[in-house]
Amino acid sequence: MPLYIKSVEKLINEFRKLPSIGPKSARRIVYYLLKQTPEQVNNFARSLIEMKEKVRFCRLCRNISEGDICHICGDTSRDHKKVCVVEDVGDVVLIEKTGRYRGVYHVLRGLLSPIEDIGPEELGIPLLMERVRKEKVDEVIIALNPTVEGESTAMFIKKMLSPLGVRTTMLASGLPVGGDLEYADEITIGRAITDRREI
Amino acid sequence: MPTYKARAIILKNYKLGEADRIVKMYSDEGHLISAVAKGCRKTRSRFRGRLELFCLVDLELSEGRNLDIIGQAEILNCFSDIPMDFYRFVFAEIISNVILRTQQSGDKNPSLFKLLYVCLNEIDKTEPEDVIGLKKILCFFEARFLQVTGLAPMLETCSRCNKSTADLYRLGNEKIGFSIDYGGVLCRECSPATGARVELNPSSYRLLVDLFRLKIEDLRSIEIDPYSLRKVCRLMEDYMVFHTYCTVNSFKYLKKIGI
Repeated sequence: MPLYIKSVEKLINEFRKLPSIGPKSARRIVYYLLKQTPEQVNNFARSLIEMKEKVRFCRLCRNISEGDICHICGDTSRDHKKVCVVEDVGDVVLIEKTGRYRGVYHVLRGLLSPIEDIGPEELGIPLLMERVRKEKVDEVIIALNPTVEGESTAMFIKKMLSPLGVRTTMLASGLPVGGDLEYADEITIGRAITDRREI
Repeated sequence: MPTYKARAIILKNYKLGEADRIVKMYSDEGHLISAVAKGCRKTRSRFRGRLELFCLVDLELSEGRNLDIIGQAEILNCFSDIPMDFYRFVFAEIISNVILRTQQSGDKNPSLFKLLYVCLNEIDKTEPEDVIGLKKILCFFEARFLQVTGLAPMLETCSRCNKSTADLYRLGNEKIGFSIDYGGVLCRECSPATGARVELNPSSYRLLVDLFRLKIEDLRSIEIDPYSLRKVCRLMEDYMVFHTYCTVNSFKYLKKIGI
Protein backbone atom coordinates (compact mmCIF):
# COMPACT_ATOMS: atom_id res chain seq x y z
CA MET A 1 0.00 0.00 0.00
CA PRO A 2 1.47 3.41 -0.90
CA LEU A 3 2.41 5.61 2.07
CA TYR A 4 1.22 8.86 0.54
CA ILE A 5 -1.35 9.90 -2.01
CA LYS A 6 0.17 10.63 -5.41
CA SER A 7 0.06 14.45 -5.36
CA VAL A 8 1.62 14.62 -1.87
CA GLU A 9 4.34 12.15 -2.78
CA LYS A 10 5.14 14.08 -5.95
CA LEU A 11 5.56 17.33 -4.01
CA ILE A 12 7.69 15.64 -1.32
CA ASN A 13 9.97 14.33 -4.07
CA GLU A 14 10.24 17.81 -5.61
CA PHE A 15 11.25 19.37 -2.26
CA ARG A 16 13.78 16.60 -1.68
CA LYS A 17 15.66 17.78 -4.77
CA LEU A 18 16.45 21.10 -3.04
CA PRO A 19 19.85 21.51 -1.32
CA SER A 20 19.96 20.63 2.41
CA ILE A 21 16.44 19.18 2.33
CA GLY A 22 16.11 15.54 3.23
CA PRO A 23 12.99 13.34 3.29
CA LYS A 24 11.92 14.48 6.78
CA SER A 25 12.21 18.20 6.02
CA ALA A 26 10.43 17.70 2.69
CA ARG A 27 7.56 15.95 4.47
CA ARG A 28 7.38 18.71 7.08
CA ILE A 29 7.18 21.44 4.39
CA VAL A 30 4.44 19.60 2.53
CA TYR A 31 2.36 19.12 5.71
CA TYR A 32 2.82 22.82 6.47
CA LEU A 33 1.61 23.77 2.99
CA LEU A 34 -1.43 21.50 3.38
CA LYS A 35 -2.46 23.57 6.39
CA GLN A 36 -2.22 26.87 4.47
CA THR A 37 -5.17 28.56 2.77
CA PRO A 38 -5.42 28.13 -1.03
CA GLU A 39 -4.52 31.82 -1.43
CA GLN A 40 -1.28 31.47 0.53
CA VAL A 41 -0.29 28.39 -1.46
CA ASN A 42 -1.15 30.19 -4.71
CA ASN A 43 1.09 33.10 -3.69
CA PHE A 44 3.91 30.71 -2.94
CA ALA A 45 3.56 28.93 -6.28
CA ARG A 46 3.21 32.22 -8.18
CA SER A 47 6.35 33.64 -6.55
CA LEU A 48 8.32 30.59 -7.64
CA ILE A 49 7.13 30.79 -11.24
CA GLU A 50 7.52 34.56 -11.37
CA MET A 51 11.06 34.33 -10.05
CA LYS A 52 11.99 31.76 -12.68
CA GLU A 53 10.34 33.69 -15.49
CA LYS A 54 11.65 37.14 -14.60
CA VAL A 55 15.17 36.48 -13.36
CA ARG A 56 17.93 36.38 -15.92
CA PHE A 57 21.62 37.20 -15.90
CA CYS A 58 23.03 40.69 -16.40
CA ARG A 59 24.78 40.93 -19.77
CA LEU A 60 27.58 43.03 -18.25
CA CYS A 61 28.40 41.29 -14.98
CA ARG A 62 26.48 37.95 -14.96
CA ASN A 63 24.72 38.89 -11.71
CA ILE A 64 21.02 38.05 -11.41
CA SER A 65 18.74 40.72 -12.77
CA GLU A 66 15.18 41.33 -13.91
CA GLY A 67 16.25 43.39 -16.88
CA ASP A 68 18.99 43.33 -19.48
CA ILE A 69 21.41 44.80 -16.93
CA CYS A 70 21.29 44.45 -13.13
CA HIS A 71 20.50 47.26 -10.66
CA ILE A 72 24.20 47.60 -9.73
CA CYS A 73 25.48 47.97 -13.29
CA GLY A 74 22.60 50.36 -14.03
CA ASP A 75 23.39 52.57 -11.04
CA THR A 76 25.26 55.62 -12.37
CA SER A 77 26.20 56.79 -8.86
CA ARG A 78 28.51 53.77 -8.45
CA ASP A 79 32.17 53.74 -9.39
CA HIS A 80 32.31 51.88 -12.72
CA LYS A 81 36.11 52.08 -12.77
CA LYS A 82 36.31 49.42 -10.04
CA VAL A 83 35.21 45.84 -10.69
CA CYS A 84 35.00 43.26 -7.92
CA VAL A 85 35.21 39.64 -9.12
CA VAL A 86 33.19 37.20 -7.00
CA GLU A 87 32.50 33.48 -7.27
CA ASP A 88 28.74 33.48 -6.79
CA VAL A 89 25.66 35.68 -6.77
CA GLY A 90 25.45 35.32 -2.97
CA ASP A 91 28.90 36.90 -2.58
CA VAL A 92 27.61 40.16 -4.12
CA VAL A 93 25.11 40.45 -1.26
CA LEU A 94 27.84 39.73 1.32
CA ILE A 95 30.09 42.50 -0.01
CA GLU A 96 27.17 44.91 -0.39
CA LYS A 97 26.27 44.28 3.27
CA THR A 98 29.66 45.65 4.37
CA GLY A 99 28.71 49.04 2.89
CA ARG A 100 32.37 49.66 2.07
CA TYR A 101 32.35 49.01 -1.65
CA ARG A 102 30.70 51.24 -4.23
CA GLY A 103 32.07 49.75 -7.43
CA VAL A 104 30.54 47.17 -9.78
CA TYR A 105 30.87 43.38 -9.88
CA HIS A 106 31.69 40.48 -12.14
CA VAL A 107 30.11 37.18 -11.09
CA LEU A 108 32.05 34.12 -12.25
CA ARG A 109 29.35 31.62 -11.21
CA GLY A 110 32.00 28.99 -10.44
CA LEU A 111 35.77 28.48 -10.36
CA LEU A 112 38.19 27.10 -12.93
CA SER A 113 38.34 23.33 -12.60
CA PRO A 114 40.01 20.79 -14.88
CA ILE A 115 38.13 17.98 -13.12
CA GLU A 116 34.75 19.52 -13.88
CA ASP A 117 35.89 20.87 -17.26
CA ILE A 118 35.17 24.50 -16.29
CA GLY A 119 37.32 26.83 -18.33
CA PRO A 120 37.62 30.63 -18.80
CA GLU A 121 34.65 30.77 -21.23
CA GLU A 122 32.27 29.24 -18.69
CA LEU A 123 33.28 31.88 -16.11
CA GLY A 124 32.81 34.81 -18.49
CA ILE A 125 36.48 35.86 -18.26
CA PRO A 126 36.49 37.15 -21.89
CA LEU A 127 33.45 39.31 -20.90
CA LEU A 128 35.37 40.71 -17.93
CA MET A 129 38.34 41.53 -20.15
CA GLU A 130 36.09 43.25 -22.67
CA ARG A 131 34.55 45.35 -19.89
CA VAL A 132 37.97 46.31 -18.50
CA ARG A 133 39.08 47.36 -21.98
CA LYS A 134 35.89 49.21 -22.98
CA GLU A 135 35.14 51.01 -19.72
CA LYS A 136 38.82 51.74 -18.97
CA VAL A 137 38.53 50.11 -15.54
CA ASP A 138 41.40 51.10 -13.24
CA GLU A 139 41.11 48.39 -10.57
CA VAL A 140 39.92 44.79 -10.51
CA ILE A 141 39.44 43.43 -6.99
CA ILE A 142 39.45 39.65 -6.85
CA ALA A 143 37.23 38.55 -3.97
CA LEU A 144 37.36 34.77 -4.27
CA ASN A 145 37.55 32.25 -1.43
CA PRO A 146 41.10 31.81 -0.10
CA THR A 147 41.15 28.15 -1.15
CA VAL A 148 43.49 26.46 -3.62
CA GLU A 149 40.80 26.59 -6.35
CA GLY A 150 39.96 30.22 -5.56
CA GLU A 151 43.58 31.34 -5.59
CA SER A 152 44.43 29.49 -8.78
CA THR A 153 41.45 31.11 -10.50
CA ALA A 154 42.61 34.50 -9.17
CA MET A 155 46.10 33.89 -10.58
CA PHE A 156 44.62 33.02 -13.96
CA ILE A 157 42.49 36.19 -14.02
CA LYS A 158 45.51 38.26 -13.02
CA LYS A 159 47.53 36.70 -15.85
CA MET A 160 44.77 37.43 -18.38
CA LEU A 161 44.40 41.04 -17.19
CA SER A 162 48.09 41.90 -16.97
CA PRO A 163 48.47 42.86 -20.69
CA LEU A 164 45.64 45.41 -20.18
CA GLY A 165 47.66 47.25 -17.54
CA VAL A 166 44.85 47.28 -14.99
CA ARG A 167 45.64 47.21 -11.27
CA THR A 168 44.65 43.81 -9.88
CA THR A 169 44.20 43.35 -6.13
CA MET A 170 43.03 40.50 -3.92
CA LEU A 171 41.17 40.52 -0.63
CA ALA A 172 43.51 40.47 2.35
CA SER A 173 43.68 37.23 4.27
CA GLY A 174 44.82 36.62 7.82
CA LEU A 175 43.47 36.21 11.29
CA PRO A 176 39.69 36.52 11.77
CA VAL A 177 38.28 39.18 14.09
CA GLY A 178 37.87 37.64 17.56
CA GLY A 179 39.97 34.61 16.59
CA ASP A 180 42.67 33.08 18.77
CA LEU A 181 46.24 32.81 17.41
CA GLU A 182 46.62 29.41 19.07
CA TYR A 183 43.92 27.89 16.87
CA ALA A 184 45.07 29.44 13.60
CA ASP A 185 46.73 27.16 11.06
CA GLU A 186 50.24 27.67 9.68
CA ILE A 187 49.05 28.98 6.30
CA THR A 188 46.82 31.65 7.85
CA ILE A 189 49.49 32.86 10.30
CA GLY A 190 52.03 32.89 7.45
CA ARG A 191 49.70 34.99 5.30
CA ALA A 192 48.95 37.33 8.20
CA ILE A 193 52.68 37.93 8.63
CA THR A 194 53.26 38.44 4.89
CA ASP A 195 50.31 40.83 4.50
CA ARG A 196 50.91 42.68 7.80
CA ARG A 197 50.11 46.40 7.82
CA GLU A 198 51.45 49.42 9.60
CA ILE A 199 49.45 50.75 12.56
CA MET B 1 32.84 5.05 17.39
CA PRO B 2 36.27 3.48 16.71
CA THR B 3 38.96 5.98 15.77
CA TYR B 4 42.06 5.67 13.64
CA LYS B 5 44.96 7.81 12.45
CA ALA B 6 45.99 8.40 8.88
CA ARG B 7 48.51 10.39 6.89
CA ALA B 8 47.01 11.47 3.58
CA ILE B 9 47.08 13.88 0.65
CA ILE B 10 43.85 15.76 -0.04
CA LEU B 11 42.59 15.22 -3.57
CA LYS B 12 39.13 16.75 -3.65
CA ASN B 13 36.74 18.77 -1.49
CA TYR B 14 32.98 18.98 -1.90
CA LYS B 15 30.65 21.32 -0.05
CA LEU B 16 28.17 19.52 2.18
CA GLY B 17 25.18 21.17 3.82
CA GLU B 18 25.54 24.52 5.55
CA ALA B 19 29.19 24.51 6.60
CA ASP B 20 30.60 20.98 6.15
CA ARG B 21 32.82 19.49 3.53
CA ILE B 22 33.39 16.00 2.17
CA VAL B 23 37.12 15.48 1.80
CA LYS B 24 38.55 12.80 -0.47
CA MET B 25 42.15 11.87 0.17
CA TYR B 26 44.77 9.25 -0.57
CA SER B 27 46.55 7.77 2.43
CA ASP B 28 50.18 6.69 2.79
CA GLU B 29 48.90 3.14 3.23
CA GLY B 30 47.60 3.47 -0.30
CA HIS B 31 43.87 3.71 -0.04
CA LEU B 32 41.21 6.25 -0.76
CA ILE B 33 39.52 7.84 2.27
CA SER B 34 36.29 9.83 2.13
CA ALA B 35 35.47 11.75 5.29
CA VAL B 36 33.35 14.62 6.53
CA ALA B 37 34.93 17.72 8.09
CA LYS B 38 32.13 19.19 10.16
CA GLY B 39 31.85 22.98 10.20
CA CYS B 40 35.05 23.29 8.19
CA ARG B 41 33.74 26.18 6.04
CA LYS B 42 33.13 28.41 9.03
CA THR B 43 35.79 31.08 9.52
CA ARG B 44 36.33 29.96 13.11
CA SER B 45 36.58 26.26 12.39
CA ARG B 46 39.70 24.52 13.71
CA PHE B 47 40.00 22.77 10.33
CA ARG B 48 40.00 26.00 8.34
CA GLY B 49 43.08 26.05 6.14
CA ARG B 50 44.11 22.56 7.19
CA LEU B 51 42.04 20.64 4.69
CA GLU B 52 42.98 22.46 1.51
CA LEU B 53 43.64 20.67 -1.76
CA PHE B 54 46.98 18.87 -2.14
CA CYS B 55 47.91 19.29 1.56
CA LEU B 56 49.71 16.37 3.21
CA VAL B 57 47.99 16.04 6.58
CA ASP B 58 48.02 13.90 9.69
CA LEU B 59 44.46 13.07 10.63
CA GLU B 60 42.48 11.52 13.40
CA LEU B 61 39.26 10.05 12.10
CA SER B 62 36.34 8.21 13.57
CA GLU B 63 34.57 5.56 11.57
CA GLY B 64 31.12 6.56 10.42
CA ARG B 65 28.30 4.58 8.83
CA ASN B 66 28.91 5.83 5.29
CA LEU B 67 31.63 8.44 5.63
CA ASP B 68 34.28 8.76 8.32
CA ILE B 69 34.43 11.92 10.42
CA ILE B 70 37.56 14.03 10.77
CA GLY B 71 38.34 14.81 14.40
CA GLN B 72 41.75 16.45 14.09
CA ALA B 73 43.99 17.61 11.27
CA GLU B 74 47.59 18.78 11.23
CA ILE B 75 49.42 20.02 8.12
CA LEU B 76 52.75 18.36 7.28
CA ASN B 77 53.29 19.90 3.84
CA CYS B 78 50.88 22.22 2.07
CA PHE B 79 52.72 22.64 -1.28
CA SER B 80 52.00 26.32 -0.94
CA ASP B 81 53.40 27.28 -4.36
CA ILE B 82 50.90 25.17 -6.33
CA PRO B 83 48.02 27.70 -6.11
CA MET B 84 50.38 30.58 -6.91
CA ASP B 85 50.51 29.54 -10.56
CA PHE B 86 47.38 28.44 -12.45
CA TYR B 87 49.26 25.97 -14.64
CA ARG B 88 50.74 24.23 -11.60
CA PHE B 89 47.23 23.92 -10.20
CA VAL B 90 45.87 22.46 -13.45
CA PHE B 91 48.53 19.74 -13.62
CA ALA B 92 48.14 18.91 -9.91
CA GLU B 93 44.38 18.60 -10.47
CA ILE B 94 44.87 16.31 -13.47
CA ILE B 95 47.07 14.01 -11.37
CA SER B 96 44.55 13.99 -8.50
CA ASN B 97 41.78 13.29 -10.98
CA VAL B 98 43.56 10.18 -12.29
CA ILE B 99 43.75 8.76 -8.76
CA LEU B 100 40.17 9.71 -7.92
CA ARG B 101 38.82 8.11 -11.07
CA THR B 102 40.86 4.93 -10.99
CA GLN B 103 41.15 4.02 -7.31
CA GLN B 104 38.30 2.76 -5.21
CA SER B 105 37.98 2.56 -1.45
CA GLY B 106 39.32 -0.87 -0.54
CA ASP B 107 42.18 -0.78 -3.07
CA LYS B 108 45.63 -0.70 -1.47
CA ASN B 109 48.64 0.73 -3.27
CA PRO B 110 51.24 2.48 -1.06
CA SER B 111 53.56 3.05 -4.06
CA LEU B 112 50.89 5.23 -5.60
CA PHE B 113 50.95 7.51 -2.55
CA LYS B 114 54.73 7.92 -2.91
CA LEU B 115 54.31 8.67 -6.60
CA LEU B 116 51.61 11.25 -5.87
CA TYR B 117 53.77 12.92 -3.23
CA VAL B 118 56.84 13.02 -5.48
CA CYS B 119 54.85 14.51 -8.37
CA LEU B 120 53.10 17.17 -6.24
CA ASN B 121 56.46 18.09 -4.72
CA GLU B 122 57.95 18.42 -8.19
CA ILE B 123 55.01 20.53 -9.43
CA ASP B 124 55.41 22.76 -6.37
CA LYS B 125 59.08 23.36 -7.28
CA THR B 126 58.43 24.09 -10.98
CA GLU B 127 59.03 27.64 -12.19
CA PRO B 128 55.83 29.64 -12.85
CA GLU B 129 54.29 28.96 -16.28
CA ASP B 130 56.87 26.28 -17.11
CA VAL B 131 54.45 24.23 -19.20
CA ILE B 132 57.17 21.96 -20.62
CA GLY B 133 58.36 21.10 -17.10
CA LEU B 134 54.79 20.40 -15.98
CA LYS B 135 54.09 18.22 -19.03
CA LYS B 136 57.23 16.20 -18.22
CA ILE B 137 55.90 15.63 -14.70
CA LEU B 138 52.48 14.61 -16.02
CA CYS B 139 54.06 12.14 -18.46
CA PHE B 140 56.26 10.78 -15.66
CA PHE B 141 53.23 10.40 -13.40
CA GLU B 142 51.19 8.61 -16.05
CA ALA B 143 54.05 6.25 -16.91
CA ARG B 144 54.78 5.39 -13.27
CA PHE B 145 51.08 5.15 -12.49
CA LEU B 146 50.80 2.46 -15.16
CA GLN B 147 53.85 0.75 -13.69
CA VAL B 148 52.57 0.66 -10.08
CA THR B 149 49.11 -0.48 -11.17
CA GLY B 150 50.59 -3.27 -13.30
CA LEU B 151 49.52 -1.80 -16.61
CA ALA B 152 52.85 -0.63 -18.01
CA PRO B 153 53.22 -1.03 -21.78
CA MET B 154 55.67 -3.54 -23.26
CA LEU B 155 58.67 -1.61 -24.56
CA GLU B 156 61.34 -4.31 -24.73
CA THR B 157 59.41 -6.98 -26.59
CA CYS B 158 56.78 -6.81 -29.33
CA SER B 159 53.34 -6.61 -27.73
CA ARG B 160 51.88 -8.75 -30.52
CA CYS B 161 54.40 -11.58 -31.07
CA ASN B 162 56.61 -11.20 -27.95
CA LYS B 163 59.81 -11.04 -30.03
CA SER B 164 62.63 -8.97 -28.49
CA THR B 165 62.82 -5.45 -29.85
CA ALA B 166 66.10 -4.54 -28.12
CA ASP B 167 67.51 -3.03 -31.30
CA LEU B 168 64.69 -0.48 -31.54
CA TYR B 169 66.40 1.85 -29.10
CA ARG B 170 69.42 2.11 -31.36
CA LEU B 171 67.42 2.87 -34.48
CA GLY B 172 68.26 5.74 -36.77
CA ASN B 173 65.30 7.42 -38.44
CA GLU B 174 62.93 4.49 -38.62
CA LYS B 175 59.49 4.99 -37.07
CA ILE B 176 58.35 2.58 -34.38
CA GLY B 177 54.81 1.29 -34.17
CA PHE B 178 52.98 1.35 -30.84
CA SER B 179 49.66 -0.34 -30.33
CA ILE B 180 47.43 0.84 -27.49
CA ASP B 181 45.16 -2.21 -27.88
CA TYR B 182 48.02 -4.74 -27.77
CA GLY B 183 49.70 -2.72 -25.02
CA GLY B 184 53.15 -1.79 -26.29
CA VAL B 185 55.59 -1.46 -29.15
CA LEU B 186 55.42 -3.56 -32.29
CA CYS B 187 58.28 -5.25 -34.12
CA ARG B 188 59.02 -4.56 -37.81
CA GLU B 189 56.94 -7.57 -38.91
CA CYS B 190 53.89 -6.91 -36.73
CA SER B 191 53.74 -3.16 -37.18
CA PRO B 192 52.39 -3.10 -40.77
CA ALA B 193 49.87 -5.83 -39.90
CA THR B 194 48.39 -3.88 -36.97
CA GLY B 195 45.73 -1.41 -38.04
CA ALA B 196 45.28 1.03 -35.15
CA ARG B 197 48.83 1.96 -34.26
CA VAL B 198 50.70 5.12 -33.30
CA GLU B 199 53.90 5.85 -35.18
CA LEU B 200 56.69 7.10 -32.93
CA ASN B 201 59.83 8.75 -34.18
CA PRO B 202 63.08 7.65 -32.47
CA SER B 203 63.17 10.64 -30.07
CA SER B 204 59.55 10.03 -28.96
CA TYR B 205 60.38 6.36 -28.43
CA ARG B 206 63.49 7.25 -26.42
CA LEU B 207 61.43 9.59 -24.25
CA LEU B 208 58.85 6.86 -23.70
CA VAL B 209 61.56 4.45 -22.56
CA ASP B 210 63.16 7.13 -20.35
CA LEU B 211 59.86 7.79 -18.57
CA PHE B 212 59.89 4.24 -17.23
CA ARG B 213 63.64 4.17 -16.56
CA LEU B 214 64.76 7.56 -15.22
CA LYS B 215 64.23 9.19 -11.85
CA ILE B 216 62.22 12.39 -11.88
CA GLU B 217 65.35 14.47 -11.05
CA ASP B 218 67.10 13.08 -14.14
CA LEU B 219 64.07 13.61 -16.30
CA ARG B 220 63.92 17.26 -15.20
CA SER B 221 67.39 17.95 -16.57
CA ILE B 222 67.13 16.25 -19.97
CA GLU B 223 66.26 18.29 -23.06
CA ILE B 224 63.09 17.11 -24.79
CA ASP B 225 61.76 18.49 -28.04
CA PRO B 226 58.18 19.81 -27.66
CA TYR B 227 56.86 17.60 -30.48
CA SER B 228 58.04 14.37 -28.82
CA LEU B 229 56.78 15.52 -25.43
CA ARG B 230 53.34 16.28 -26.84
CA LYS B 231 53.22 13.02 -28.77
CA VAL B 232 54.24 10.91 -25.75
CA CYS B 233 51.92 12.81 -23.38
CA ARG B 234 49.00 12.14 -25.71
CA LEU B 235 50.00 8.50 -26.13
CA MET B 236 50.34 7.97 -22.37
CA GLU B 237 46.94 9.49 -21.73
CA ASP B 238 45.18 7.51 -24.49
CA TYR B 239 46.89 4.33 -23.26
CA MET B 240 45.86 5.00 -19.66
CA VAL B 241 42.25 5.81 -20.60
CA PHE B 242 42.02 2.65 -22.72
CA HIS B 243 43.42 0.33 -20.05
CA THR B 244 41.89 1.85 -16.89
CA TYR B 245 38.53 2.97 -18.36
CA CYS B 246 38.92 6.30 -16.56
CA THR B 247 37.88 9.42 -18.44
CA VAL B 248 40.74 11.86 -18.02
CA ASN B 249 40.47 14.39 -20.78
CA SER B 250 43.38 16.64 -19.89
CA PHE B 251 44.22 17.55 -23.48
CA LYS B 252 40.80 19.03 -24.10
CA TYR B 253 41.16 21.18 -20.98
CA LEU B 254 44.75 22.23 -21.74
CA LYS B 255 43.55 23.36 -25.18
CA LYS B 256 40.71 25.28 -23.53
CA ILE B 257 43.14 27.30 -21.41
CA GLY B 258 45.48 27.83 -24.32
CA ILE B 259 48.42 25.47 -23.58
